Amino acid sequence: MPTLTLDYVLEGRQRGYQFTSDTRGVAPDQLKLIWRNAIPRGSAWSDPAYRGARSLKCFTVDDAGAGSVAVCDVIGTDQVDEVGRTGIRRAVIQVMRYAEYQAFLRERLAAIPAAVIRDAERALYARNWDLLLKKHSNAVHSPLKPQTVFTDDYSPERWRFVEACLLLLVTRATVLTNLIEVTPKVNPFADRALSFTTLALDAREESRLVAIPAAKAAGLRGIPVVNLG
Amino acid sequence: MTTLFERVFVSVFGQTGRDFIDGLQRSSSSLSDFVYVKVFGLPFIVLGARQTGKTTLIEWMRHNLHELDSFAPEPTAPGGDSVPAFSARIGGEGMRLKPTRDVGGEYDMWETDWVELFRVAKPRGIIFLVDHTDVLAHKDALNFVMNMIDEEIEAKRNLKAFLVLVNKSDLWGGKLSADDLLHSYGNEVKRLKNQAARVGYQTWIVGGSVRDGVTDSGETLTASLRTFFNAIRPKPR
Repeated sequence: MPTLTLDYVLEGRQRGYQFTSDTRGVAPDQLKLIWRNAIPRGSAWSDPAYRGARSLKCFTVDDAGAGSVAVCDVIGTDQVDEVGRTGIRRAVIQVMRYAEYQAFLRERLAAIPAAVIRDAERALYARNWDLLLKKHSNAVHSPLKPQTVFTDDYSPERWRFVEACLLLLVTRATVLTNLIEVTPKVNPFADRALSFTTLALDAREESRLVAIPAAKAAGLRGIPVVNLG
Repeated sequence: MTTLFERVFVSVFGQTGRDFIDGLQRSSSSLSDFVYVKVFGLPFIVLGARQTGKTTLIEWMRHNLHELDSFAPEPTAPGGDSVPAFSARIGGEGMRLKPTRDVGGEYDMWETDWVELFRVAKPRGIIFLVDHTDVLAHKDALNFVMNMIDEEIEAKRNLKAFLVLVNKSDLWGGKLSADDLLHSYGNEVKRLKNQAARVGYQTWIVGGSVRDGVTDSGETLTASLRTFFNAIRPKPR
């Protein structure tokens, strides 16, 4: 399946965000979906704390048949545009079949040090009730597709732990996953692939599971958060 | 245009019936105005080619039209950012405003983010920003928006006003006037006026600076926005 790059172009007639890779082979509707959703939401990416920050964002682009998922690896760049604006991000997007996607998630989780994963498992177990109750008190999202928002103090090192927490939940490696969403085998409304974003600066219009820095959580009204700290 | 019910009612009750129906319509219009302006927010959208100041304009309105000293806008990413309805004091009146989303101005965003925003917001007004740079890009963007209005029959139904703001007068004001800048937009301005007459919305062109909150004629930008928002409310003032 194709790999797409969404980049900020600073030269030529048409500048700004655009796909810089060949988009042939991706259906127009899927391309639109990727365009709209690949880059995590929120502003203040120009804050020096988020320069070089990485986010993994995954969402379904085709639910039919074998299905496919967009896996977006996003990085905060140090690019500066013609009028001095910063906070520019770059996304490399791989469109994968569900089966490939599951393998990708397992590999990604396996790449995280075992000690970090153990901490993440402990943190999730300790928040069983938080996970269960808070997602259903989220006034913004539908009760059938509730969103769970995680927060922690941001630092690149700490976010390895946060990423481990989200990967554990989406790979259904723990019993806790069922507190997020019962498997599609039991729940007909469950997503085949639970969308998630490991770093966004705003939870609105974000994935079903999203992690945001604690400093950004203050601005979320009516959205309960699960603090991983 | 009167409905069959109104005609029957007036023929039975005469002038008293007419006065009653007029009163009812006035009350309903006032109620709708109150609901939009004070509760749900006046739906409008902000469009324009990249780097024209769309994000800054929305942020300025969100900050109650106060100067934005330390605001450093970032290029808006594909998909844009959701903007919840907010309250602002426009020319002495507290209004609830609903821009729905802040969208980017890159060419690739027109067909996707702009059209989607127009369909979702069904705006009562459009603020379109241009500046003194890249005339061709601004003309393309303006033509695209006018085409979109023509093609999106459902979304344009509520459209009452279209304000073109020639932004960044703090950068061009000393050397040029808004008329000088708009000289290259002759066909677009003519087309906009024709479309306004045909579709039934009002249109204005104002030069100014969102950063300084003034127009090129020295008035406050708030006055122009007040005219715009008063035109898009259910009971225009």
